[in-house]
Amino acid sequence: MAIRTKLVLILLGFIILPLMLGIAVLFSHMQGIVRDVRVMQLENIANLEKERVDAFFMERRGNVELFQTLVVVKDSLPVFLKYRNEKNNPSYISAKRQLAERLDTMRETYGYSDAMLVDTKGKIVLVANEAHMKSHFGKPLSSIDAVAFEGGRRGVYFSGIYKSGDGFGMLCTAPLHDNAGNFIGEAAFEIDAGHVFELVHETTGLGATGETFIGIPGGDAVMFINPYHPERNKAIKVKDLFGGKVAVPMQYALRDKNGSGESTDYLGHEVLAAWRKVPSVGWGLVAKIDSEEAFAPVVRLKKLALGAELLIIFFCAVAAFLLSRSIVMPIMTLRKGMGIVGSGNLGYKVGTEAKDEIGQLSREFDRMAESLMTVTASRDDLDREVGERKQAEDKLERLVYQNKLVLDSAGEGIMGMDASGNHIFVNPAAAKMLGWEVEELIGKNSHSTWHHTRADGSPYPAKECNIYASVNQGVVNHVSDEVFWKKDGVSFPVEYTSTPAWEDGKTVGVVVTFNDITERKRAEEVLRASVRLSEYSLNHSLDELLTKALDEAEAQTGSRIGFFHFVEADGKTLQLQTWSTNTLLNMCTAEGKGQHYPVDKAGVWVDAIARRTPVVHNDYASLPNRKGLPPGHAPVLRELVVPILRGGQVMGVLGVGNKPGEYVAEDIDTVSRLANLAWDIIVAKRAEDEVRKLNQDLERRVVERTAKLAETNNELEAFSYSVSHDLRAPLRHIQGFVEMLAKNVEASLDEKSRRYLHTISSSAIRMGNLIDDLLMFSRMGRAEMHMTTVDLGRLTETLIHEMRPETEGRDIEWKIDALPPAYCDPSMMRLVMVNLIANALKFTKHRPHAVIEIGGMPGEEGEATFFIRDNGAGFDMQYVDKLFGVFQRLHRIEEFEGTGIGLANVRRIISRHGGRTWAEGALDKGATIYFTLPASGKDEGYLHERA
Amino acid sequence: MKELKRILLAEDNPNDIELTLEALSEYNLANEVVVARDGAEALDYLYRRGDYKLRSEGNPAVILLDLKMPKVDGLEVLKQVKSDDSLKSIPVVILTSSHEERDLVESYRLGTNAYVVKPVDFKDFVDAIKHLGAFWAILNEPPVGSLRKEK
Repeated sequence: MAIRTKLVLILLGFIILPLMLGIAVLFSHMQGIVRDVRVMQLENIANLEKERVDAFFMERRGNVELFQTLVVVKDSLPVFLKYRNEKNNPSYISAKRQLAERLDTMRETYGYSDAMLVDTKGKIVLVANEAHMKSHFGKPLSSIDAVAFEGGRRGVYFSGIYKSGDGFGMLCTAPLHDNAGNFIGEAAFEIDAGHVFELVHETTGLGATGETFIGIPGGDAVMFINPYHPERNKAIKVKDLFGGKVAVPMQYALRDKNGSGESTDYLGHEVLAAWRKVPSVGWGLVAKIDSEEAFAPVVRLKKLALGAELLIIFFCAVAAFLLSRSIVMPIMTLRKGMGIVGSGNLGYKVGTEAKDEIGQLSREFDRMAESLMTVTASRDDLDREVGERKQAEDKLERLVYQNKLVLDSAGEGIMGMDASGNHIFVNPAAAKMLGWEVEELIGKNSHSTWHHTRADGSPYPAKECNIYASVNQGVVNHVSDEVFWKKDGVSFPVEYTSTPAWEDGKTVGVVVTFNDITERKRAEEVLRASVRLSEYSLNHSLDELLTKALDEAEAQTGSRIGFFHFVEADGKTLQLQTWSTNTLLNMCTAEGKGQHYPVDKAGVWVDAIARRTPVVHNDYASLPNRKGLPPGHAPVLRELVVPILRGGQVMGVLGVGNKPGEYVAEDIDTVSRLANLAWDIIVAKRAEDEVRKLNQDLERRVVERTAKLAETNNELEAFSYSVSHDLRAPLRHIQGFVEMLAKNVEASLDEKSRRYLHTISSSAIRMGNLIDDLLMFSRMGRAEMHMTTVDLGRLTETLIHEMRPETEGRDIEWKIDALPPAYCDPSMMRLVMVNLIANALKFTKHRPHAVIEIGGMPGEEGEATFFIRDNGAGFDMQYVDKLFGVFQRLHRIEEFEGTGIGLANVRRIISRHGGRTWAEGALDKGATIYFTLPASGKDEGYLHERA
Repeated sequence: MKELKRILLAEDNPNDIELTLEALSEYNLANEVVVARDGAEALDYLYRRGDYKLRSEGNPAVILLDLKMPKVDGLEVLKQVKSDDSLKSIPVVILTSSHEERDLVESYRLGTNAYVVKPVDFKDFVDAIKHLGAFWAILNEPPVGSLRKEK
């Protein structure tokens, strides 16, 4: 294998393969993390949706069960059925009216699209929805849903989904029994399936292809419902679905296997999905996102990394090519020369000037060929030799002249010294690099002239000198980490080879060939600085990174000032970002971090933005168009400003200044490389920060929603308890007093009877109030919230004004502080304030002089606390935990009217805003109700969700 | 000085009080009823404190106890009565609107003597109350220290 190929392979093997391997491992790890986060997200959403759908049907089941227990229904339905052929029978009319009223109440209260009664044969005998009268009345229930009637025989049953008018509907059926427990028919409620689909709208944070859908088994088909993409709604035959290779998550969900992972959806896409069974109705629920989108961030990063990798491979290949050429070319030349000499042309000279071993080899070969020729020549005719001597001498003379020409024109410095280190010859390139004339150096001691001090400034004793070592020990030294000193006292880094000169087996001197490697060193330094910057970025903030990039740019160019500013998308505004450590410490006290600054107001350094090229001002003071410096700014002597260009747009500028010497092309290159690298890291880092922020946000929201769901379930339970308890009592009273009145009617209508009558009406009113309040309370937990900033002070003033008719004639002292602005839903907050103010008015009504105080103060992290205080009846602190409960009262009803739901509403609304409520008080000493509201914009996603 | 009455009715709702008294009046028991308007007042009566500091000694023959009351609810009163040696022998009848199973279970767990869901139909209600009053305040032999009607 050729040396050249070997060199290239070694370079590739040691640099590129490990690099690629490392990147591959990194990306597989990243992909794993992204998958885990996505699956967790999907699981949380699937759980949330499942709980929602479940809660919806549990609630439906609850109120249908309530209907089953209604005594009126138990009593009236048999009568209704018995006399249904005698339409004018008073019993029939009364029973029908009773039943129709109950159905209407159910329909209106719980939002059913229809409510029907079915006789024991499955025929629809009563329809609440007028619009359905014609299509449903007298028909068998099976004409709507084939199995709903059979399903409803055993208990509360939910049918499959069917098309109903413009939308979808489903039936909830339940058996009805008379008081003796005989089956007397069924109740059937039609649910607008649109409500159900709204429940599974939630795809927040899932991206463009994220969606949730439900699968509803019915008969021999499974219907897929996707709320976002109605055109995708379709039914799949059960036998085609199970065992098929699409909609795998839904298969799992419908077979009671809850879980998550990578799978194939019903469109045949590769997806990440989580699947859940909804136990109350036996539906399947799937939340998914296309794998392609889920892993898009990783793919993007992969592309970026691939680009960087290709760049590195290209540079390595160029480096390998150049290196191998510098090594192989002389060898090729030598081989070619050997071929020529070997073929008999002993006069041929390889003539390689290289300073390395191959160069020496070729020169040795030339000498050998020469000797060989001499020997060959001695065999020739002496006469011819004599005759040709003159010609040979001419040739030699010409050769010497040619050698001198070669030495003089060589770009490398070449010097010869005798055994004591004094210059014997110096080529012009060497003299020029050292800053001397050739003649000045001849005879001068080399070490004390340009090799006396090391790069770090320490003395370089002659006995340690690598060049002397060549003379004294006869070794060839190749050195690349030393400096030579110029006549003017400035040093420069060199790479040199010192080769001993031999004569009669003894060293008589040394030849030194050298090159100024300042430029190479600089490129290496920039490369190292870039690597340092990349490593530094891994665990430092953006600001720290920018500062570090500036410090590196300063160090590499010897500057004393450094600044980095972003240019905004309009190309006209600068965002002042940061300055180098040195600038902030010593040079500049001007402030303005993060400040926005019009480009045309900035100094001449913004020329770099206008011209889109690096700008150098080596003589700043003499610039005609420069602008004044801000107070506290250090004097600028000279500066170099480099724009960062992306897609033809200037994204930012990096500038350095006050280098002791002038800025040159190398400085521009150094600063450009660092600026561009810093920008690339900034872009990558911003993307990374964004992903991290999104994930944290997501986790927090999932926790909040889970807590919210638990709370909703608790409230639902309290609600059903109250319905069964508190709403029955007024009913009973009405009944009771009517009976008693009837008893008294035999005598004339006396005082007592009139009061009974009054009680009937007041109980009825109260029941109305209770039902209204309950519905309001329920609605507050479900209504969508529209957040905005509200001036609570103004709202309070308005409310007090509106309540004036009720406070007429009372002595009320209002103390209203300046209230901090509140970020909330205005109509809900109005209800909160109405409740609190009305409470304060109510509980102070026995006070000759009422004092009501409303105040607020901003708290930590933008959270604001508000309170309303009165000097009214107060309450005993030992009952404080009952204060905010639904229908909890601490006073008798004749003392203070009301249903006991006001503060429960306040608490529910505030807690939906993410705030807290609490109370302080003492019996007869007044009460204070406190609530908090979180900062504006906080928890935005949570606030906009539908509970 | 307040007298000890044979029936303690703990009930916060004036309508229910009136209906209950109406029912009890059929056996002339209405005058034998003392009404506590919440759980705290019922306990005050039983422990002879607060407004009832000066009432004559002894325990009622029966306590008719509503479950949902302000301040201290019926279950809490029941718990205190049944865990106090001097009170636990008083028969307690829970009178409530609620069919809630958890209330029923909890009441019997705490040692109630009867659990009556107030019927919505007034005639049934009167019957139930009448019979309760008759059974617990007239027929039942109360524990020592309680009042009963002289025969």
